Amino acid sequence: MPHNNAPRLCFSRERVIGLITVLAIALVIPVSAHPQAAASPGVGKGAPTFSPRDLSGLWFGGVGGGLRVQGKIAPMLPEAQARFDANTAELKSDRTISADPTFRCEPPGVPHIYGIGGYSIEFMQTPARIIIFYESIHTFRTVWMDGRKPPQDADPLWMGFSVGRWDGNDLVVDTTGFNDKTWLNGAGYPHSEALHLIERFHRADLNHMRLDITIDDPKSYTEPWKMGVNFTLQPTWEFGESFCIPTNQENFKSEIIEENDKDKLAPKTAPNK
Amino acid sequence: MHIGMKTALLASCALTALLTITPKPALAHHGAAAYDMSKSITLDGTVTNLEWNNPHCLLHFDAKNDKGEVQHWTIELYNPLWMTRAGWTRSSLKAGDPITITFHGTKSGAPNGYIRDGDGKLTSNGKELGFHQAGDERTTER
Repeated sequence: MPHNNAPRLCFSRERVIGLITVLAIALVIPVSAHPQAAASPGVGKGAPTFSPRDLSGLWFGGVGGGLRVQGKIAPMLPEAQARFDANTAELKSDRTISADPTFRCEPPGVPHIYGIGGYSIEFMQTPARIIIFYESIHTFRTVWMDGRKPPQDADPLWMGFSVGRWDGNDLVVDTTGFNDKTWLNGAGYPHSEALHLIERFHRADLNHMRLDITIDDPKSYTEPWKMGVNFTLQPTWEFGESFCIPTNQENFKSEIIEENDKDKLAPKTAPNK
Repeated sequence: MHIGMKTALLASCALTALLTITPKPALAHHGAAAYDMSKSITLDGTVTNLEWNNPHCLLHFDAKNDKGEVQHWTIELYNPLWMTRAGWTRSSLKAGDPITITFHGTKSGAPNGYIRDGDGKLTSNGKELGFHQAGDERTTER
């Protein structure tokens, strides 16, 4: 029968339909069925979909937290300069900075919280507020999303009072109401109670989120300046426990920091003769 | 389709490379000024203790110096969560375990050191103990 013996064409109707089906499945599967498998950056065609206003999950900023100065630090006003000089006296004598209040387990404030250790942060969202958990010292911040205004004449806070809004798909967080006890980062840059911090979280793709931070402190700096963090999503990690323990810090300081800088430290007592 | 996926994968790899070559300061928590990051030291030694604490886990070991004298060393590792994500447990090394370790020493000559993901290496009984966190696309802080 000619029908049975007819040579099969490479592009028979069935084959074309089959090929299209396979292609369609191959295009769809990486997007919808295996989001965990696509942990590498999603770029180009076939990138996994995500909701840019859903920041839930663990994000890692890198070694040391990932906080970096962007561009130039604005000149300091005299009072801030004096505090900076005092904060960095150790560095000027080529010693490791240990005057950082976070060494004594004082709350780091913001943005310094993004510059501690190699820890993750996690977002949890409800309609009225977003909670940002910080693994580094096992703490959190509340970002109010319900349109409230910061309280007037409130007691200054270590982590400030934060209100947030969506600007397009960027989460913009305004924080005021800080005390002036924290450093802006581990390099000793001070701030006053007039600090107004603007954080802009921009989820660029499934696995990457950029945080741009504007430091607006007219009592300390001549103009606003910027810092930032590049975060990567960590779908396989779970938020861990990490507290700052004063005895551990003291042990670390005596075993490591003071030992390393022994040649630069002045002797505590005059040698006996 | 395969070509398309390969292209996407290559583009993805290129982007990852671009994102990871940005220089990152080491040990931003307390600064690496005390360590000589331009040189590495490799020693054979015997573990005396692994301290599993913040801010950094500390590895203590004894190793013989050039004169054959036993010297005690203390090496900074990463924090416990980092170490866990790199596959360690607090009992990964115990007192008496033999090790071969490559790390950065101090500028002052103090017998301390810092080991990091990328150029540090630690083996014990023929098994390598790494420092790269599972899932972290960054290479190292270098």
